[in-house]
Amino acid sequence: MRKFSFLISFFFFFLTTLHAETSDSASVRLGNRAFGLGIGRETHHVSFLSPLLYSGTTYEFWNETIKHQSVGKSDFYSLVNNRVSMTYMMPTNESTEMSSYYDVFEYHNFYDWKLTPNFHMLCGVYAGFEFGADLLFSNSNNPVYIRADLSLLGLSFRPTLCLRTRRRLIKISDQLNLRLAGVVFSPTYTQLYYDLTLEEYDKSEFIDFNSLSEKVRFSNKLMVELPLRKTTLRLGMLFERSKSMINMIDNRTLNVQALIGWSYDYYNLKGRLNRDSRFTTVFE
Amino acid sequence: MKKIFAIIFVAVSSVFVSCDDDLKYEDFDVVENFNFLWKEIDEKYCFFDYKKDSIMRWDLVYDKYLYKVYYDCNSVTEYFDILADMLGELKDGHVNLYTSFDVSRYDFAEDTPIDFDYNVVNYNDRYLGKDTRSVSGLRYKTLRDGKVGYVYYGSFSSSFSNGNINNILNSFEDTDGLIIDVRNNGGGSIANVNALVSHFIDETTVIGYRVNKIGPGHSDFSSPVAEKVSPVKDGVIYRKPVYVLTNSRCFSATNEFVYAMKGLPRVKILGGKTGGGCGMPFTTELPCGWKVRFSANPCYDKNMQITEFGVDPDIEVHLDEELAYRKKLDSIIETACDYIVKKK
Repeated sequence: MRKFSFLISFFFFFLTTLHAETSDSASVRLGNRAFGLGIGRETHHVSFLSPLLYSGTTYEFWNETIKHQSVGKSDFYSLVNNRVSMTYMMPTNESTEMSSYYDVFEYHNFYDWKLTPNFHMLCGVYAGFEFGADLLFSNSNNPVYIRADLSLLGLSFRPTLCLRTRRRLIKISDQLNLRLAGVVFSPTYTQLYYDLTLEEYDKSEFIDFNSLSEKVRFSNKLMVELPLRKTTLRLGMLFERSKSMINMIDNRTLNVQALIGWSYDYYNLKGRLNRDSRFTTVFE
Repeated sequence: MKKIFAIIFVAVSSVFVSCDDDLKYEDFDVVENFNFLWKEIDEKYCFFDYKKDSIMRWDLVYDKYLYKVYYDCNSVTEYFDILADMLGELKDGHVNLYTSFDVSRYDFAEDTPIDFDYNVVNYNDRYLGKDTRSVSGLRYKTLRDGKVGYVYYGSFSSSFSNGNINNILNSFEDTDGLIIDVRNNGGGSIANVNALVSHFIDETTVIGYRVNKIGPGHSDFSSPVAEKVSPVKDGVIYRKPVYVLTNSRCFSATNEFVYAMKGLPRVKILGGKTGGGCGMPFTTELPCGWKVRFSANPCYDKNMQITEFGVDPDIEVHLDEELAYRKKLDSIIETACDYIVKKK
């Protein structure tokens, strides 16, 4: 086994150094991936289904990928975030049960404003979409409200603090997102989805372009990455608030979750290795 | 550096201190529940203008029933009865109040002839007794020595495939005409209406119009949008005379089927006036958890007429009850058969 490992390692480094040159080469940068679970409480009001306030437990699976790019002397980061959620809710009188399923996908692009060597203020924009459904099957004629929201533009900030101890690097970050404008698919209140399928229907009536005046969506995610022996644990808290009035349908949501997951850096070997190359972690 | 981060963290957290005031649930009481129901109907019910001459003004309804809530309400069931009576003022079979112990309903067919005897149609071998085939809620058989095809469809909630209809119509290949009996069919899925109509048209046909509410006012409606049905693709289109049998219990989707078929070439409506119900129902909840269903979007026929109070038949025929009782004969079916066989 030792011989096998030695041979594999030898060939790996041999092959890479064979093509190395002493001229300037890009230093190897890493990306970062994280994934995990979230559990928390969601309070939800969707007037298409009910005027009552529903609340219950939400379960989420999330994953995140960060990549670094250099443009001249400036550093940029791209972040892709995907969340799949399930929520089971009841009103205060516990008379019915509503369930909610949705997927949120976001693409962020940040400019790295280094306030200090170990404090990064990432400022940027994002776009994304949310797709899912709220189900209230006790409503015989309109049991489903479909969520389809394309966020065309939003502001995103992610201050990140890197704390280096003797052996470990602890990262604390806080990501704030604010949706500015987007497009929502929505029937008018009391309008059934069947009507939207009619050929002669003016599709613009249920495709609504809106901004902050009609829909506000704000989220704050505080995260701490704690390196353990062979892995990095990511703990976090997510606060998310959204409020919209589109086509006479009033939607309000408050989502508070505890997040737990794992984070790891991965290698990007597109660059050429040389003696001066050094491996750095994201945000270091 | 630590201070910077701490400041940011505190600033962000403070955003959430007072952001959920409008999400706090408030306890309800009977008056608030009543007010909520009255307001929901006032802003979302779609037939106030159409029924202004036949029902009490809705603001007067408020005064009348609020008094009852204050002075005549001593139990949950009495409270339910008061709200049910208030909703009954709308005279709409699509308006219901659902609780865990009862459902309110308006009898849209009260004081109208029934025009249908279930036992005669289903147990007399002359009709659907012996040798009847059944698929997806459709019962069918040939009558008058194979000259008349007869289909009974009891509910538009029973979905069928184009294959089902093709097979049924193929079995009537040698008939001189077809009877589609939708008496006592209380409605169901609109999709089934369009699927069935598509087997009786040769070209894309406007069968009606739809509007929806766009505001809280009684007259706030969108422009009408045509509802079109195209002929079935790769299916059987029946091109011989068709008689659709109706009675006052034909409601909702059945009413839509009748006004879609009425006026088509080769189709006649025979029987009694339908029960109406051309409002698309919508369901919501009350603060106490009870559910209320009401007509939210009106549907118009191809002539832009509302059929909330029913569709008149082309040929009005009522059931001879004495004949049905003594000889187990359905005079409406017999009349339709006579029209087909004698080619009137």
